Amino acid sequence: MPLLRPGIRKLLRLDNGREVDDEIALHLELRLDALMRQGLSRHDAAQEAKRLFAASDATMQALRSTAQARDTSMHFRERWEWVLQDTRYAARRLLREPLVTGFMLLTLSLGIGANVTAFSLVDRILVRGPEHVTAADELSRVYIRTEGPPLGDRTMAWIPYPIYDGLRQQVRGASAMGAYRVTDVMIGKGADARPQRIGAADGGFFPMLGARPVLGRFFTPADEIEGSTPLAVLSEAVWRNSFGADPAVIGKPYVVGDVIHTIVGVAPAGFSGAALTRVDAWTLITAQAKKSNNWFVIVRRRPGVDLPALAAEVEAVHRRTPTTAQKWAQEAKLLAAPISYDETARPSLESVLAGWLGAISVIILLITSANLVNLQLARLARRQQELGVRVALGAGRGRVVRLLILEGVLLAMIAGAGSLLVAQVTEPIIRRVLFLDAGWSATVVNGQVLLAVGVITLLTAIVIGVIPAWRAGNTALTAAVISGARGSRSGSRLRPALTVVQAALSVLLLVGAGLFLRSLAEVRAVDLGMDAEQVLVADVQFPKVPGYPFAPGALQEQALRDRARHRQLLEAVRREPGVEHAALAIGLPFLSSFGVGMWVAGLDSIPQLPGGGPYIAAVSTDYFSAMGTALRRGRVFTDQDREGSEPVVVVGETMAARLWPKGDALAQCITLFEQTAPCMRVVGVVADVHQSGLQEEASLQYYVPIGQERGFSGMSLILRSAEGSTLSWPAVRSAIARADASVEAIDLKLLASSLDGEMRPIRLGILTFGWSGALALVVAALGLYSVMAYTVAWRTREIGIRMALGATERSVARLVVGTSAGLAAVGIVIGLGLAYAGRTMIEAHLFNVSGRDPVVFGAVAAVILGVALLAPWLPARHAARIRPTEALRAE
Amino acid sequence: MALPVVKGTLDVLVLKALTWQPMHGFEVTAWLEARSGRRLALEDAALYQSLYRMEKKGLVKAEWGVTEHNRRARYYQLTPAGREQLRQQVSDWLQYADTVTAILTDPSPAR
Repeated sequence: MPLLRPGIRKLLRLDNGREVDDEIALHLELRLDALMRQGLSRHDAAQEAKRLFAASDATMQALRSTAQARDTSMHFRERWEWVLQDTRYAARRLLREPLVTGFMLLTLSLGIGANVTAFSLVDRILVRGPEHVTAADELSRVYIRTEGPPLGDRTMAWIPYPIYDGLRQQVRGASAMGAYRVTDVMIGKGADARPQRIGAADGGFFPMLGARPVLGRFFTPADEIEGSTPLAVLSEAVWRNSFGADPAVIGKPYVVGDVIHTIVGVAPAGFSGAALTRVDAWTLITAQAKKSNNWFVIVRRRPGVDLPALAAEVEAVHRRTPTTAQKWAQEAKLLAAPISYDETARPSLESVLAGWLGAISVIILLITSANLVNLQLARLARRQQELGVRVALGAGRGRVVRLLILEGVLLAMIAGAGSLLVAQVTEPIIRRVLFLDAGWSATVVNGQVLLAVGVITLLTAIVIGVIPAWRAGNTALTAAVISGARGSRSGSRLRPALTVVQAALSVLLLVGAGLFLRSLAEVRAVDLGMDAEQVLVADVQFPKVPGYPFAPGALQEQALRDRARHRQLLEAVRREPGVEHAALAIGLPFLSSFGVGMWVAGLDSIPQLPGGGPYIAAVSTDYFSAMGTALRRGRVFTDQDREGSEPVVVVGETMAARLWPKGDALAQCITLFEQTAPCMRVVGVVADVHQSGLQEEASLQYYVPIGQERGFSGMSLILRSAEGSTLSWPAVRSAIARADASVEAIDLKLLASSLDGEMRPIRLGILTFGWSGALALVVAALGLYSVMAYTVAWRTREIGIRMALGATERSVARLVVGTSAGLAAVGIVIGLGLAYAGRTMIEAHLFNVSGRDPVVFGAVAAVILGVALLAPWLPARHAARIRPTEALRAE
Repeated sequence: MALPVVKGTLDVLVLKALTWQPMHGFEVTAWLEARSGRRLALEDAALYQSLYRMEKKGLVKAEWGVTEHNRRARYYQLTPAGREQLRQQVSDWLQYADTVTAILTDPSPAR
C-alpha cells in the first residue's frame, strides 16, 4: 500500500521525478534495441545509448527540474483557465438579470461604502489622531482634578501656566511638551466682523507635534523672548481664502483683536493642532498669557513610557514642585489621558460618534448582506432545474458551488469598487453634518482605505457567495432534474432566519433612535427658568477710551461710556419690527457669571449650595420679560431703578427660601459689595434660572438694576422675538450699526446655543440611529414581504387543499400574516436582547433616560410588529384568492 | 562528420517532427536522425529539455499513451500555438539562411 494517496502525491508533485525517469528509461531501452538491431553487442549498445543521450546525474537532474518548472506553470495555467471560464459564466448569469443584479450592486455598494466611510472616520479619529501629527498615540493630555471649594469636584483640561512650566522642566518621561488654547475671536471690523477660531501656542507646541509648515516656519521656543513682536501662523484655509494663497505672505500683518501679528508661516491643509476641530490661525503665547490658568498641555511620551507611568510622574513632579499657581491648583491632583479625550478626561464625543458609526455601518452591511443572500437564494430556487441539469451533465457539484461563490465574489468586487465612489461622496457630507468644525481634510483613497475595502469586500463575498453555495451543495440537485419539479424547498429555513436577523438588527438600531428621541423630549421638558431658544444675545464692542485698560480711571470711564451707548442702542433696537422685548444685562446664564461680597442681617455666613453662587447680574427694565423668567412675588425693576435711586434687588426663589425660610423675603434687605454699603431692599422674587447647563443643582441668584452694580462689567444686549417668530440676524446687525456708527464689532448668538454641547450627542444619536434604523426597517419589511410572497408561491398547492377542505379566505390570510408576525416576534426578542446588552455604548449620552427604557423597548417592538403585519398584505391577499381547482390543476 | 545543431534551431526541428503525428521522445529522435541522415550531432537529453520547455510554453502538449509494443510512453503533439510558432520560425529561418547564404556566396572579394 502506498504511503501517500495518489492525489496527495500529485499535489506535492512527488511523481514528477519518476515520470521523467520512466520516459528516459523507455528512450534508452528503445535506443538499445535499435543499436542491437544494427549488430552491436548488448554491452556496447548500452554504452552507445548512454553516450548518445549524454546521460549523467547532472543531465538527469537538469531534466527533472525543467519538467518540474513545466508542471508548476501548467498547473497554474490550468487553474487560471478554469477561473476565467467560470468567471465568464458567472458574469453572463448576472447580466441575464440586469435589474436584480443592478439592485444587488447598488445596495452592496452603499453597504460597503458606509463601512469605508466609517472606517476612514474611525481611522482618523481613533487610530491616527489629528492630521499632520506624527505618532499621535505617543501624545497625552494633562488634566487637573480638584476637590471641594472653590471649584467643586471636577476634572479639567485647563492647566495653570506656572504648573505647566514646572512640568516642562522636570518630567523625564516626556520627550517634548507644549501648551495651547483655542478661542473664538472676532476678526474684521464693524458689521462684517466674524468669529474665527484662533489658537494660541507656546514655542514647544509645534516641535512637539512634529508637523511641517507648507510655507515659512512654525513657532520655536526661541521665539518666546520678552518683548518680542507678536507672531502668527495661518491655517492653509485662511491663507487661501483671505490672502489668495500669496506665497509672499510671510512677514505680512495679521490682526487679531487689537494686536497686529507678523505672519511667519502657513500650516498644512487639515492641520488642527492636537485636537480635531478647525483652527483658523495660531498666535504665539504672550508674556501676559503666561499668567493664565487656562492652557491645554500636551506631552509626548518617550518610547517605553506608558500612560500610567507618565501620569504618575506628572503627579509626582507636581507634588514636589512649588509654583506661583493659586492654592487650589497647587493642591489639585494632575493626571493624564489620551488626546482623543475631551476637556473632562472622558472619551470625546467625536470618538464616541466614530464608534457609533463603526457599529452602525457594520450592522447595515449585515442587513444588506442578509438581503442579498435572500435574493441569491430566491434566484437559486428558480435556477434549481438548470443547475440540476448541469450536475447531471457532469459539471460536478464542486463546479456548481464554485460558480455560485464566483458570482458572490464578482458582485462583491464590483460593489467594492463602487463603494469607493460612495465613500468619496458620503464622507464629506457626514463630516459636515455630524462633525462640527472638523479640522481634518477629506479622506482620499489611500493604502489603508483600499486595504479596508479589500477586507470588507472579501468578507462580504464570503457571506453572499458561500452561504447560497453551501445551500446548493446540500440540496439534492439531481432530485430537481428527476422530478422536474418547480424547485424543492431550497432555503426554506434559511430565508426566514435571515429575515429574523434583519428584524433583530432593525430593532437594535430603532431602540437607539428611540432612546435618543426620548432624551430629546426630556431635554425639552427641562424648565430652565427662561426661554433660551427665544433670546438673542448681541455683544457689541465700542471704541476703547485712551489708555484702556491700565490708565487710571480708564476702566470706570469705559464702563460709563459703554452703559450710555448701550442704553441708546437699546432704545433703537426696541423699535425694530419683530423685537418684542429688549434689555441690557451684565452677567448672563451660560455666558458670564459674577460673584461679589454679600452680607445678610441675622446670618453668620451665606449658605454654599452645590450649584455654586451666589450669582449676581445687573439688568435693565424688561430683562425678565425678555428672558421669559417668571416673577413670583413683588415687582421687577422699572426705569426708576438706576444709579442714584434707592438700592434694590430681585432674588431667585431658592435664595428667597434659603435666606428667609419664613417666607418674608420681600421687605428684607442685603448688603452687597462691601460691608459698609447701604442695605439693598428686596423688591421681588423670580424663578430660578439654570446657570451652566441642562442639568444642575439649585444655586443662589439675585439681580440689581444696571447702574447700581459695582466691580463687574461686560454688558450684553438681549433681544426677544415675538412668540413663534425668529429675528433676522442681518437685520439686527444693520439696525445696531445704523443706531451707532462707532460700533466696532457685533457678535450675535442664541442663548440656547450654549446648550449645543449638551444637545449635540442627543441630536447626533437621533440622526445616526434614526436614519439607519429607518433604512433597516425598510429593508426588513422588504425581506418579510419577499419571504412571504415566496412561501405563498410554493405552498399554493397546500393552500388549495386547505381551501378545498373548507378553510376560509380569512383563515388562509391569517396563516400568512401569522407566519410573518411569528418571524418578526423572534426578531424582536433577539433585537431587544441585543439592545439590552449593547446599551452601555450610548447610555452615557442619554439625558434622563435609562438605556433599558421600557417605553422605548415597547414602542419599537410595536412598530416592528406593525410592519410585520402590513408587509405580507399582498401575499396574504394572493393566498386568499387561491382557488382549489386551479391550484391543484397547476401541478 | 556530424554538424553541431545551431543554437535555437532544435525547437523548430522538434516542432517540424511533430507535424507528422503525435510522437514520443524516441520517435522524435529517430525521425530527426532519419531525416538528417545522421548528419546532426544531437544529444538526446537536449531533445527532452526542448520538449519540456515547449510544453511549459504551451507549444506542445503531452499525454501518457501506450506504444505498439505495449510500453507506457509520453506522446507529444502540436498545439495551435505550436503550429503558429513553427510557421513563424520556419519563415524566419529561411530568410536568415537566404541572407547569410547571399553574403557568403557574394563573388566580390573580401577586403
